[in-house]
Amino acid sequence: MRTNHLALVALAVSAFANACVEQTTMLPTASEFIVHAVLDGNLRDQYVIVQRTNGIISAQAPVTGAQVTITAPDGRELIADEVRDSAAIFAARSYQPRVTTVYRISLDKYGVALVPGGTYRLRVRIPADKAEIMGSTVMPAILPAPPNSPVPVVFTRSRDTLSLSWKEVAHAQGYVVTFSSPAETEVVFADSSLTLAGTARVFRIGMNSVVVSAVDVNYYDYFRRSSDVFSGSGLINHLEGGTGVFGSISRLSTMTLDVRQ
Amino acid sequence: MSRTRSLAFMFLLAIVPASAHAQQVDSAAFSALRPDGNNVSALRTNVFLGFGNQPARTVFVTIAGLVGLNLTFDPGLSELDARVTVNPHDRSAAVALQEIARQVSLQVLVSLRGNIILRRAVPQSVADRAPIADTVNWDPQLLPGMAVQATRSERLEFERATNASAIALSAAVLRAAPTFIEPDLLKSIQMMPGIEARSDWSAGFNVRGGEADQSLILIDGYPIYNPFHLGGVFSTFIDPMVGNVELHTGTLPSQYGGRLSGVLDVGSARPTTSERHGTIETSLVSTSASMGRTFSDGDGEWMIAARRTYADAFVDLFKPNAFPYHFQDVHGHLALRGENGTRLSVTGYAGEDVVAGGTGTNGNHGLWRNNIIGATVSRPFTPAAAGSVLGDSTVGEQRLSYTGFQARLALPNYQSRAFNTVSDVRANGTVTRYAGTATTTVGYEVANQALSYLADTPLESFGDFLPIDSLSNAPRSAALYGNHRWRPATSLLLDVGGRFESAEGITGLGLSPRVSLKYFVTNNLALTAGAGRYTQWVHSLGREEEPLQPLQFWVSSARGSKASAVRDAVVGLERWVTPGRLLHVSAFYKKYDALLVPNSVNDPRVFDDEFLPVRGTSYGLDILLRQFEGGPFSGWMAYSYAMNNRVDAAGHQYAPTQDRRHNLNLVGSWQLDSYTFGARMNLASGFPNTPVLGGFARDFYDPATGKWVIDRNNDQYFTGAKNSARLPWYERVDVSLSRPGRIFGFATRPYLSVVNIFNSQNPAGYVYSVDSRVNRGSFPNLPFVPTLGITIAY
Repeated sequence: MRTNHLALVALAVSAFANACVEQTTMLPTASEFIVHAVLDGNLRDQYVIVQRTNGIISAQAPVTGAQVTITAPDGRELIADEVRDSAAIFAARSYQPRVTTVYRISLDKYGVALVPGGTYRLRVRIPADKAEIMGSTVMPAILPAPPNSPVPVVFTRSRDTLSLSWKEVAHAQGYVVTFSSPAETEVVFADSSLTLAGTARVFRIGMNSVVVSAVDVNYYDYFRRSSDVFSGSGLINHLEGGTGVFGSISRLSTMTLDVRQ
Repeated sequence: MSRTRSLAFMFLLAIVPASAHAQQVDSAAFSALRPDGNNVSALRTNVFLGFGNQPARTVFVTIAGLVGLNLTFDPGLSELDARVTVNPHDRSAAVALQEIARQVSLQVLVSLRGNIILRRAVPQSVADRAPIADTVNWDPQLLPGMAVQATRSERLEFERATNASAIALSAAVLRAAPTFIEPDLLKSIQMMPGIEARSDWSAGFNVRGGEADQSLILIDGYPIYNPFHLGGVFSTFIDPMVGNVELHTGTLPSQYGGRLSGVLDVGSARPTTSERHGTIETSLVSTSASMGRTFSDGDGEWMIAARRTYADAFVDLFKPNAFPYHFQDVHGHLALRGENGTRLSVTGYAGEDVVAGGTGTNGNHGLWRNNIIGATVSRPFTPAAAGSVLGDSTVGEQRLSYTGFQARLALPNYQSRAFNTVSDVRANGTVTRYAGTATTTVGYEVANQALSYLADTPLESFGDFLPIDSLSNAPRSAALYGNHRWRPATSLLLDVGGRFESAEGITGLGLSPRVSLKYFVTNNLALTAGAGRYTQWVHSLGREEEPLQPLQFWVSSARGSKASAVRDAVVGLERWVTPGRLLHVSAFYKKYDALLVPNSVNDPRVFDDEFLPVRGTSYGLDILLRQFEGGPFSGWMAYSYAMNNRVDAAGHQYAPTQDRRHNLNLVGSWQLDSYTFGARMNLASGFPNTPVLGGFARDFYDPATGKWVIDRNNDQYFTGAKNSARLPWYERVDVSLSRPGRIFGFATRPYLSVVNIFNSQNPAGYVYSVDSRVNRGSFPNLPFVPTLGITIAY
């Protein structure tokens, strides 16, 4: 998954990576809450993942007993239910999820729909730690496209070029184009168009699903940059009281490519 | 290396010169001076001088002083009182001495060590009857009534220039330091006080706490934007083409503009004989060849050098395309002298680095190149009579140059590319009037700089290395500047000037005054002071915190933005401890305004967010103790203390990455019999870095499926306050050994050099992994590297 950036990193520092001459094991000194939540206009159930960590991945664990609410644009509070089954929200071919407890907000339960262009506020209270994490997002101002996939288009890598363009969406900070094959998902951030030669690595032989989504500034910032390998800086976090993302997306279009060599 | 070992080495450096001095010997064999300087490097040094109706004695002493050689003569020689006139222009010291000697019928003899003796020339008729061998044994102790006088060029600088923060260096001095793979000017410069580099892999250096893009680097006065090869490991200066070097670390003279912190002006080496001569230098990675000669009785000269690395070709023998990288460059200089002392000089440089070049297996390639072509015309005007507006003499100079830089990186399989182009066309001219002890210069400079940058990629992580953005600007600029240096009293030297600048679309320029003074407390002790304001509107996108900075990508400030500016103040002293030992001490304070530092999280969709404005200060102390050539030991001790801070727009203070508190360099070269032993020790406190406190897994939300995806290779970090930690001390000792010899009649100098002989682990930065524990790996600077090479002169 998203191995694209690793290749680039490897390209730049591989000659030196093995040259790390001194290894030191350090005690983790972080104590942070991590919140991952993305409002998806295509879904009726919205999820919030709350974790805590001391700074090492293996210690990253779900937080139970949190009070999670999302305030809708009309001021109505949508209270999340604590669910001890996270299987529904993780991709099937993903690694084993780290969390078994997630927080679900059923829009059907409240009889509401996500409002394009609406502002939603997230509040996560963790009474045991007297912690509170807050964030807000503005939904891209467009109704989501239906998720069903159209008829596959034959795409020959050695010959074809993929050109996509779409109208700009209010409150969308950027656009994400995902290229999903059975083996891999590649992600490309774009402006209002994208042109890729068939030789690009994103295309895998076989059926490829290409989805264009409008994303809000939180999603865009959180996923467009990563921690720099040397300085540690780079991750953009818009949450207060924790680290992570409370973003929103709206799918614009879907197409299926039958990619051939 | 332990601190104890470092200190022991410092002690050795301190005591060896003393013991070596006792072993000083010189050959008594003196030869008639030849135009090639008799293989004495100082005599091949080019000097710019002009004299009008001066006693020959004064002229000889001045020339010997300029190149730092001892001069011996009989003060009773009446020829020395004869008055001579020399048109101002460049020539080698040997040619200059011969020129004067011919005028007054004296003969110049030179020892193997460069000691000079003047004697009355043997009349031709006598010479015909009793020819004198070209080489004679001459024992100066046998001459009765001899006077010995020596004036070094540094001594003349001390007496005539304020030089609050300037260091003049000869190529010979710079070559005395041990080398990494091959002699390199910029590596040697980094051993001077006030100079440091972020890492051994950085393309750039920092001057007195300034950012790496604040140094103006010039070849014969023409700018070069990326004077580096192989990611900063080598510079573009081909060693045999390096002549004299002028380094300014503060109170920059008014003719220099566009940079905030430093100026490095590298003069091309000049040929010294009408016979074609040159060198071939071979190191482990490259070979360079130089060639040059004078012609038309010294009225013309040319010199050219070229270099190419061959590691790619060598590795190809074993595994094709395994190391698809090379660099090559060529540097040439031509000068012609015409009627009335008019001089035309042309300098050209072209160099490029090539990675893969289309032969790579995946189509990825990179290319970056520097090109310079510049011409200068100068002419002296000598007044017909005293009291002329031309003063004693006036020299006009007009310069025209083009500098280009192009970088192209392409990763087609990743749909990623980056371009940077710089085109710098500039004209400038000066008129300098010499009258008594006063020198007045007025000048202008107009420039058209076109800078464009484009990085285009769908990969967000590309932004860790280069900003993903598109920038283009072509600011035209103009400047008027002036400078007046005079001596209002015997003990006081004043230098007052200013630079008025304007650049299209840039605010905050205007007048930048510059002033410096020197007060002579005694003949050997002077106090200096200076202050000035400097501005800059072109910047590098390179991030200081990255230990790997293979290139500087240059862009201009956006239209309507304020130019970066700094004001500095310097006080110091210069003291001649002995005739061959000079101490510089200089304290500085700099205050920056509207500095621009690259924004590590810039958004390509947002205009003008590539840089973040900061302000800040730097202050500190530089100490330089130089032991000049002339004995068996020469070298220098350079120590810098600095405190730097920056304040971002939100008011957060932090130490910039180049904030190095202590930096000590001990550099020595010992002549022991026919061997030359060189050593350098660098002990420096660590640069700031941002500590990583831990990390977490950032899972990815896939908009296509509406599900989260566990990403085990996308760990993110929690960091402490920016630059709140420090890298460990940097400790490194380099040594070298060389011995001159002859092979097939050619003069040779094979050398062996060992970098980091104790293999000290000097982290340039840290990389982390945070899976089941926090692991910190150090990213190293140069390890133990023995290298060898040979220089062949013909």
